[in-house]
Amino acid sequence: MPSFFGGKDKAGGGAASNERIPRHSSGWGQVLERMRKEESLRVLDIGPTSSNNINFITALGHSIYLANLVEDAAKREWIIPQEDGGPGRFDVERFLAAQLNFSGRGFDIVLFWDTADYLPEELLAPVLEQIHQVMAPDGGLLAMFHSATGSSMSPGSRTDFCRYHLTDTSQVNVQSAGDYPILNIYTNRQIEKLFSAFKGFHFFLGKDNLREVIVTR
Amino acid sequence: MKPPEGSTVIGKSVTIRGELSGKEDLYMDGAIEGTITLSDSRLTIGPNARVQADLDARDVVIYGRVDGKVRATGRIELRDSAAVRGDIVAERLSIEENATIKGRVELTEVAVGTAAPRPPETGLFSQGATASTPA
Repeated sequence: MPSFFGGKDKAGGGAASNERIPRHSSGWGQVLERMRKEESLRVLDIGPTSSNNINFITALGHSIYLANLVEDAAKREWIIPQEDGGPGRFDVERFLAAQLNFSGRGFDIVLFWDTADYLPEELLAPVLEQIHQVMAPDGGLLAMFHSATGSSMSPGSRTDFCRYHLTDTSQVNVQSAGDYPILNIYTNRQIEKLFSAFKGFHFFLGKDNLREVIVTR
Repeated sequence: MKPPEGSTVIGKSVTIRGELSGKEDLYMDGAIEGTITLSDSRLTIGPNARVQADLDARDVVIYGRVDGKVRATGRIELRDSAAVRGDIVAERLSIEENATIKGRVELTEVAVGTAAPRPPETGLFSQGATASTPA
């Protein structure tokens, strides 16, 4: 099974591991800079629950809202079976209403992590559209995308879905949070298209197989 | 699991619809739709509980699933098997590995006179929040 960074995982299996691997993140470094400069930001963390992140963000004086979309989207309950026995269709409307209803809250920062690669393709654009709507003007979103280059990564690969623990440097500590298939690998052009409604974006290339992008609303 | 000694126990075969309030510690392992209010006491939500209710207590310990707002004037503990869908407001919060939250987390200031020294703003832990195990 590919590990976080495209190599082979020693442990195998789907169980989450306690091991945390430090990883440089220029994108997180930029977000952190903003979190230090500004007060009372509203942060949406779209990743597995991390007590570390709750503590870190609230200690900086910001508020946090948690929503793990990958785990929610992986449930069979969203699949509408087809009458002809063909592959089911993802119930996008019902998912958005149930999982992305923030009760009128707006957000200044969204930590989207590598969620995009694990969501069904038909769901991703509507999810980003919904997030665009709940973000404040000049709000920032941090996303990560796996790259197929130089690794065995491809759609259908089972890889560790990760929890990114925040630190007070340009580093995140990466911990396995479950075993989900990568559903899509996006090119930079496709990523730009996904975020076309946003004002701007800035790519950061990593030494591993993850590209980072900071998107501004 | 064994309920804490001295607690009132609501077993898993009991279903309640409405408002539940009291002044004693409560171990809830049944089903409830409504609210639970224990202003000065400890509320434990057992692993078999089916809770669709807003919870308000001094301390709240959750082993099971809760759909609703959870508010504690003291501490909220989310044990390994806990899954909360709703906002959390507490003075202190601890989350065990594999516990999940979907909702807003608000950690309130420690009351004057009981406050521990506040760590530096850039520290990992503040506002009474603690992480008992990594999540």
